[in-house]
Amino acid sequence: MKNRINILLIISMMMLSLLSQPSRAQEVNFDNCWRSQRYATLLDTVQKAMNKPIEDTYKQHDFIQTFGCAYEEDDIEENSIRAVYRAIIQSIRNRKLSLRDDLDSVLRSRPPRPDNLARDYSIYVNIPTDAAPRPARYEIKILNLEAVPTVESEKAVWTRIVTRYAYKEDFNVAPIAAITPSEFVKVMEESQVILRALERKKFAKVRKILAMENVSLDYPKSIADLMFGDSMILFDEVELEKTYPGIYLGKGIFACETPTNGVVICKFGEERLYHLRVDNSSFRRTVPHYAELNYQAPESILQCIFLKFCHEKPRSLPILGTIK
Amino acid sequence: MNMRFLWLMVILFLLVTSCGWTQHLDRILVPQMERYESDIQSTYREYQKIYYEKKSSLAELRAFENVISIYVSQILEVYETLSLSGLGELEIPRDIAARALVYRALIFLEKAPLNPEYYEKACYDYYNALAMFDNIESIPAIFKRLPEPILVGANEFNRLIDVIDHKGSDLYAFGKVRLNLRNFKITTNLDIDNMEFVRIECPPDKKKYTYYAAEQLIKDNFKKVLSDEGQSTTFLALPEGSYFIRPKSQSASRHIYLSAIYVRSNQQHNYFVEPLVDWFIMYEDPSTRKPKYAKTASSDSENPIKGNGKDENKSAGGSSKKGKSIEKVLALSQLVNSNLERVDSNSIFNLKDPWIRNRFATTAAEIIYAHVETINYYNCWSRWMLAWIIAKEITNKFSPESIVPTELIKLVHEVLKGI
Repeated sequence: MKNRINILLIISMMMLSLLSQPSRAQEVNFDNCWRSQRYATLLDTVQKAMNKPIEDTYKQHDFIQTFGCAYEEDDIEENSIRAVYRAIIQSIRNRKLSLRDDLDSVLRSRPPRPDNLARDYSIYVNIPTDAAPRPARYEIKILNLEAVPTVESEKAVWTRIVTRYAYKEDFNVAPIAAITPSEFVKVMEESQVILRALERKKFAKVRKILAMENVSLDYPKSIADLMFGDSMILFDEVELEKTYPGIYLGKGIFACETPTNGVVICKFGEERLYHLRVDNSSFRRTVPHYAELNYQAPESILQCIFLKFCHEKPRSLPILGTIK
Repeated sequence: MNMRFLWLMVILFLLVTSCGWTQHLDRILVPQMERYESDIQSTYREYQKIYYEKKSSLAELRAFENVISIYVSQILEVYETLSLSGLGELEIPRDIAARALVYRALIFLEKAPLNPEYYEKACYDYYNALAMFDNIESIPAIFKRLPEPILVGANEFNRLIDVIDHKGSDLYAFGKVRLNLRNFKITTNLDIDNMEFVRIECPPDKKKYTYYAAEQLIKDNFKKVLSDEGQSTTFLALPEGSYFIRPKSQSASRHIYLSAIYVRSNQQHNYFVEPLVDWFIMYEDPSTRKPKYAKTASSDSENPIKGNGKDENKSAGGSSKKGKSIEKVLALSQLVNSNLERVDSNSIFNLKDPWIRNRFATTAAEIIYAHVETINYYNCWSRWMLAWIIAKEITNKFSPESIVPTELIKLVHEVLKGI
C-alpha cells in the first residue's frame, strides 16, 4: 500500500514538473538564438543530407540531383510544396531552362507531402536554342521529402529530387547542366552569418557582407517590397542632417545604428524611441539573391533576436518639445 | 424591325428612368441631410445653453446627446446609401456627414470636463470625420466655410477648424492608431478573450484621458480576422503614451514587446499586425519621407548608404549648407508661384500687384521651408493639418487679424505635395 502511494506521488510530481515547463513553441534561448536543446538547425540538417551523392542508376540515366527546403509556413504541406518548388527551380536554373508550365499550380494540384505517394511529376520546359526556344518534357522524381522539427520551425521540410529530360533527343541539344545542389541553402548559410553577427551587434561585418557601400541594384518602393538584407537610411528627428544606416530583416524587424545606444534591433516604429525616423524613400537593395530566391529569415530567429535586447529599450517615446 | 425598335425604346426608357431616379434621390436625400444638419446646429446651441445655465440637469444633457446621435446616425445612413448607390456627386453629402460628426465631437467635448470618457468619444467622431477624406483630393470639410455660421459661447465661427482651434485642444492630446491586421490564418493559435490592452507609460498631463474602447475594438478585429477574413482594419484613439497587448496569464512575458505601440499626441500611426511564431507583432508603416525639393540640383544625386551619425552637409564642405538652404527656398518660392496660378489666388489676399505677389511667394516659401526643415514636418497629423498650421503663420505675417483663407490652405497643401 505504502509503495503504491509512493509511486502515485512520484507520478503526480513528474506530471506537475512537466506542466510547469513552458510549452515547446514558447521556448527561446536568448543566449544563442540558433541553439536549441531539442533540435538542430535546418541548415545543418540539409547540409548533412547534401553530402549524399546521386545514385548510380539515376546518374547513368542523365538525372541531376538538387535539394530544397522550407520553414516559412506553419503547415507541413505548404512547406513541402515550397521545398519541392525550390528544388525543381534549382534544377531548371542548373540546366539554364525556363518553365512553360505553372509549376506552383502543378504542385498544388497534387501536393507533395511526406506521408503520401505523390513522388513523380512531369512538366514542360523551354530549352534555349539559337532560334525559338524548344519545348521539352521534364521528369521530376522526389527521392526524399522529410518533415523535421528544427530551430527555425517545428514544421520544417527538406527534400532531395532528381530531374531529367523525358526524351534523350532533348538532352542531346540542351546546354550542359551545372551541378549546384541548392543556391537557397547557400543563401541560408550567408543569412545565418548575418543574423548571428547581428545577434552580437556586429554591424560593420553585416555591412560588409551586404556590400552596403555599393551601388543599389533596386529600390523597394515601400515596406511591402522590402526583403531580407535591404538597406535603408534613418535620420535624426532633431538634427535632420544626421543619418544612420539600417538593415531590414523581415516581419517589420530591422537593425540600425543609433545616436547614443549603438546597434539596436527594432521593429518599425521603435526607431522613434531613439529620436530616429525611417526615410521611406531611402530603401535600397545592394545584393539581389535574397529577393531572387524569395528568402525570408526564420520567424523564430527574428523573434529571438528582437526579444533578446528588448528589455534595454526605453519604455516611451522621447519628448520632442516644439511640436505645434 | 419592330421588335428591335421596341427593345431600343425599353432600354432608353430604363436609362431615362434611372437617371431621373438618381436626380430624384439626390433631390430628396441631400435636402434631408441639410435639414438634419441644421437641427444638429440648433441642438448644439441649446445644449450649450443648458450646460452653462443649468448645470444640474444631467439627464437633460443626456437627452440632447441622444437626439444629436439620432440625427448623426440618420445623416450617416443617408450618406452610406448615396455612396453605395455610386450615383451622383458625393462632395456635399460627405461634407455634411463629416460636419455632423464634428458637431457631435464638440458636444462631447463640452461635457468631457464632467466625464473624461467623453474626450475619447469625441476623438472617435473627430477621427471618423477626418477619415472620410483620406483618399480624396478635395479639402476636408473642417477647413471649408460652414453653410451657416456657428455660435460657440459668445463667438461666431465660419469654419469648424476655427472652432476646434478654439475649443478642441483636448483632441490634440490623442493620437490615431490605425491597425491593419493581416496574414492571419484560421489555424493561428491566439486566445483572444484572454488578452488585455494595457498602458505602461503616459505623460502626467495625459493621464486623465481614457482608452476604454480600444481593448474591445482590438478583440473584435482579431475575431473577425481569425474567423474568416484574413485581413481587417480598424483605428483606435489613444492618449499619448506606450501601450501593449498581453495575455492575462503571462503578464511578465517578454513577448509583450512584440505587441507594443508607441503613440505620440496629435499624430496618425499606421500599424501592421501580423502573426509571429506563437504570438503576433505590431509594427508601424513608416510614412516619413524626406523632402526632395524636386527642382534643386543638390537633391538629384543618389546617396549611397553611409550614414554614421555625421552631418553629411558638413562633410561636403563648410558653407555649403547655407547655399543649399537658399537654393531650397528659391525652389519652394517657384513652387508657390506656379501653384498660385492653379488656385483662386485673388481670394487669398490682394495679390494683383506683381511686387506683392512676389513678396508673398517668398514669405510663404520661407515659412514653409522653416517648417519642413524641423520635426514639425514629420510629426504633424497630416499634410492638411500642416498646411493649416503654415497657412495660419503666413496669414499672421502677411495680413494679421484676418481669417486664414481656405484657398491659402489649399495652396500650401499643393506646395507640400509637390516637394
